[in-house]
Amino acid sequence: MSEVNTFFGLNPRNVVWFVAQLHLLFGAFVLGVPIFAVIVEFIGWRTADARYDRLAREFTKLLAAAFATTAALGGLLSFTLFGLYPAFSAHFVRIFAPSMYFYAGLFFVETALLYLYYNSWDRLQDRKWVHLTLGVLLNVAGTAIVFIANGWASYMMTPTGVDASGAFTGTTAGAIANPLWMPLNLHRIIGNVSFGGFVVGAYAAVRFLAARTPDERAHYDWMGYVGNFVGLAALIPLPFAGYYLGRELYTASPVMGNNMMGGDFSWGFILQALLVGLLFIVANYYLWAGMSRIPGAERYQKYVKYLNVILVACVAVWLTPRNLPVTPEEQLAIGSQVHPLLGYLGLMAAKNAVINFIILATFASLLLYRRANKTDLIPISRQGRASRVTLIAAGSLALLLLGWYVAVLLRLDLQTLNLTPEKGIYVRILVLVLGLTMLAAVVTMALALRGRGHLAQAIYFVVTAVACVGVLGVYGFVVMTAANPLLRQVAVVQWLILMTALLLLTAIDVVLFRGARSLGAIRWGEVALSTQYALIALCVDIVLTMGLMGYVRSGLREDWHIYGVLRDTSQWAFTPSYSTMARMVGGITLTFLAAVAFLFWLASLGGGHRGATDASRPSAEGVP
Amino acid sequence: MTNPVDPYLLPGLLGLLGVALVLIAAHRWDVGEWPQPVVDPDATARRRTWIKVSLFALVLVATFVWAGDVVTASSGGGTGAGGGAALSPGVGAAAGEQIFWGAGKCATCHSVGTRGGKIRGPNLGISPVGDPIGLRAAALAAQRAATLGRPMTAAEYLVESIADPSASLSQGYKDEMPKPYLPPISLTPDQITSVILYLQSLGGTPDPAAIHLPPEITQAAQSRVTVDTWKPYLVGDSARGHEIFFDARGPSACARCHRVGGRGAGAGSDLGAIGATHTPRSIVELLVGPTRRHDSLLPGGFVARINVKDFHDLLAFLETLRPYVAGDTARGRALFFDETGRAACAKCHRLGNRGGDAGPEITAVVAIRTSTFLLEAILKPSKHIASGYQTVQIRTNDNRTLQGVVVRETPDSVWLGTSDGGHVTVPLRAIVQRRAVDASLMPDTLAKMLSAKDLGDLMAFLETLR
Repeated sequence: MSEVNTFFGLNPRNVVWFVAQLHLLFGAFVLGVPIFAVIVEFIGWRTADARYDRLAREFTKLLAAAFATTAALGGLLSFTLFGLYPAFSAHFVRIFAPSMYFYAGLFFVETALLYLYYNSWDRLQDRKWVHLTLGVLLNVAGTAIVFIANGWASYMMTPTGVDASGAFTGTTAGAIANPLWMPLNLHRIIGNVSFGGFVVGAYAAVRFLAARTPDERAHYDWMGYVGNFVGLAALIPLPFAGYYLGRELYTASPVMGNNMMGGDFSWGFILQALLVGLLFIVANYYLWAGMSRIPGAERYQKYVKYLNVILVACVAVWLTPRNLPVTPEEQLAIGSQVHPLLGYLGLMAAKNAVINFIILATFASLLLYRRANKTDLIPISRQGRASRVTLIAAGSLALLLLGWYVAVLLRLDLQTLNLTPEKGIYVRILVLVLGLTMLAAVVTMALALRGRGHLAQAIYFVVTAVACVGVLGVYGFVVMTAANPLLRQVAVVQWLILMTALLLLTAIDVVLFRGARSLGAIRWGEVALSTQYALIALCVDIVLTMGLMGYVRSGLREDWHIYGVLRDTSQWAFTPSYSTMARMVGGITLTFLAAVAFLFWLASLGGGHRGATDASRPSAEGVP
Repeated sequence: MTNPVDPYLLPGLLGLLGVALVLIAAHRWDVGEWPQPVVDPDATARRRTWIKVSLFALVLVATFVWAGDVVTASSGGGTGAGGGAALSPGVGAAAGEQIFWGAGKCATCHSVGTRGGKIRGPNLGISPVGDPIGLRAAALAAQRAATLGRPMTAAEYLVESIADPSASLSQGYKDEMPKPYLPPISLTPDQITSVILYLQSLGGTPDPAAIHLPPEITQAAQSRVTVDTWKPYLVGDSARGHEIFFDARGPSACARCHRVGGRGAGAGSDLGAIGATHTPRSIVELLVGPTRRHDSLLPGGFVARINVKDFHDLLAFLETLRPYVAGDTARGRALFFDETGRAACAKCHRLGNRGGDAGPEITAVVAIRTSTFLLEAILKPSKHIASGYQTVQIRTNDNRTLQGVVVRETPDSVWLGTSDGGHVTVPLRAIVQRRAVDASLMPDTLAKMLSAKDLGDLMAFLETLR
């Protein structure tokens, strides 16, 4: 059997790359949009706001065509793999055949559920929970499908059940449940939600720009806001999911891990920092610019410049490479291959610190937006018991999370990390930071319960910034040189502190502004056009990011079809340069966007622009 | 050399300008400075929206493509990490050096002195924590011997640290080093021996006789030999490959940058002897890049532009390029040893019992290096500096700056071999600052001082030493 064939004279690897990435983007679309639709439908049901229901329906309508395109691309991907890489495909089928039948079966189930979900919309208006259950089942089927495909993709990176000679001796289930499977599942699911949100945002932006009436503008402005909100909300935990994926990849194969972060692919992460940094900056810009349509928002505009400085500075650090090839003269001038100052900013400790700060700053933007038109707060003492219960529950959960990790650290066996007992001091410092944060959480909760919510929020914001960025950011460098294996624990502590901040501050914010007086209705539709271009930029950016990370994930296998097991011995078994990658991913992105635009147009043929023209002008209190 | 970023600067600036123009246009439209369409408003507005949105998306994607080009230019060129470095055949410290910094992936965790920036594994050169590994290995072997209760030599310690990295760990580092003879690194026994020779050369003397690899390394290599043998799957037509090489308007247009037999342009390397100095696989690797980043040095998308048949024809042609290096060996010998002559190699390089010690012993170099490499080492001495011969710059407390190669180091002083073939002894207490320099001590003026005949004769003489 020939190992590799060509596709009408074209490089087979590029053909598979193009088709696989396009299939993956459509797969993300048909997975992300139903998740988005069900969330939005649920909000509409609970808030009795019909706009959400219409929005969910409008996007579900797109799914039929998108679903068919995804399936067609999946078929094409299978054919190209079988036709161009027959030896690899035969090897792969031997391991995964049972799961492939299951995969196809789930596709039928998902298709049936999709049509049931869409076509029963009117019929089940009075039994919304049944309809939502169908939506949830649709998502369960979609998630199961993507989980199987993730098993195949992750097996190629971290194969299990393979003996020393390279022969497969395991089971299909074991091969799917390889070390990278669950991290990849988590990362893709969260990423797909974000992706779905930003695609919706871009769709709304295009419709807004073409809108001719204030009602249409109001509807699509609101839709864009919802899309951005969902996209941004999912974007916040995404770096952590990415860190988890990278960490597990490193654990499974230090060779691959080092190649990823310190070898050939380290520059891929600089490009990723550029793209994800831009996602955060542009998403924040959209929020800030959108405050112009909220009466009373001018009170908070003065804080925007500080947030902007933080974001740009943090993205700059995130973008800093560790290794920049230098000439002998440059090396002579700086005394080493690494810049004496900037070299530190290129290390993981610095990057972890700034990513936490970016997330905290973005969260601050969301809080500012949320409170923009609210005033005359109702003291917590005059609110019902529910407010106090909410605060206590959130605070307890935060304490529980932090306390749990204190216990984990105290039980940590340093020998498993190849550290001597005297290195225990570095663990104790982490415990101390967590302990002080817990103390701050208690103080924050007490202040909030006594009606000093603003002060409580300010204190916990400062504590989080100081602990995550200031203390642990610098401490990361200390650990890196003195007790390197503990660096992961430092990252987990940073993540936990940040998560408790998001939890606690949100709970306080909800209670703080419950029943507050509004300074006026949100003027939906009265927003700068540049905000709509920001929404389009977010969509293009996230598609490019997915393409880039697809290249990194596949490229990490270098010249292996299945890492360490089945080698690609053809002359195309090289990792393309970033230049080639950018052209390829750029082409894929444009193709995908054009195809999605076509699908939107197809969907509009049936119903015209009814969704827009029927939309009532959104109310002032419509901030989800 | 032209700055590789330059070609991308203009499109990049145009891309950024495009983004700025679209944003300005959006803003001006927003504040009502431009008239709104009045005829057939719905259709016109939709059309304009689509044009603007498409243009905007296109500009964003173009900017990303530009960023990819800049990264390729910044991370690939000028360091020898790309396709320009020749692959040394055979076993030796120099081959080991290439493997260490390339296929062996050692450099993704270890630095050597100031070379490299990785800190995940111990620094194997001169560092704040100690001597280079070639010197340090003996002390580490003694510690390990005490633990094991049996004697262990420095070479045995180095072998163990590669064959079984988990056996003894450096303090403060995780047990995560893979066994490099197993997939995915899959080094062969010869490659592992070369790496050990390279490690020995870092402050010490390579000693092949002391290296005895354990049987599992050989067995691992034998077990995968059937799946790891590369061969092209098409037999190429060398005559057609010749046409492709010199076809200036063809998809590869090799001769626009490379010369063969005096034909072609000179910006790229002369490929006239590539068939003699490279195996078929290594030629492919040069085309697609030994670090598997083919177009980091070759023009963007080279392999993507050329079809499979052309690629194999070109490969067949390159394999035919095996010219004989002509020259007068006696005259080359005279040039080598004449310390007052134009080449004066023996001032710094020892051959037999003659010559200085500021540069590597010459038979050891010739034995493991290709002709192309030797020629390049003469003309561009700083491109590849032999291990143990890094230039060191020392500043003394009387404000003198000395530059040379550390020939010997005692507890009290450093002996520097200087570029004139002499020695300078510097007391340690007089040293204020000491740092490695990445430029060779060997003068880079030989290209101007030697005629083509001189070079041919010198090369012919060096070839006799193989």
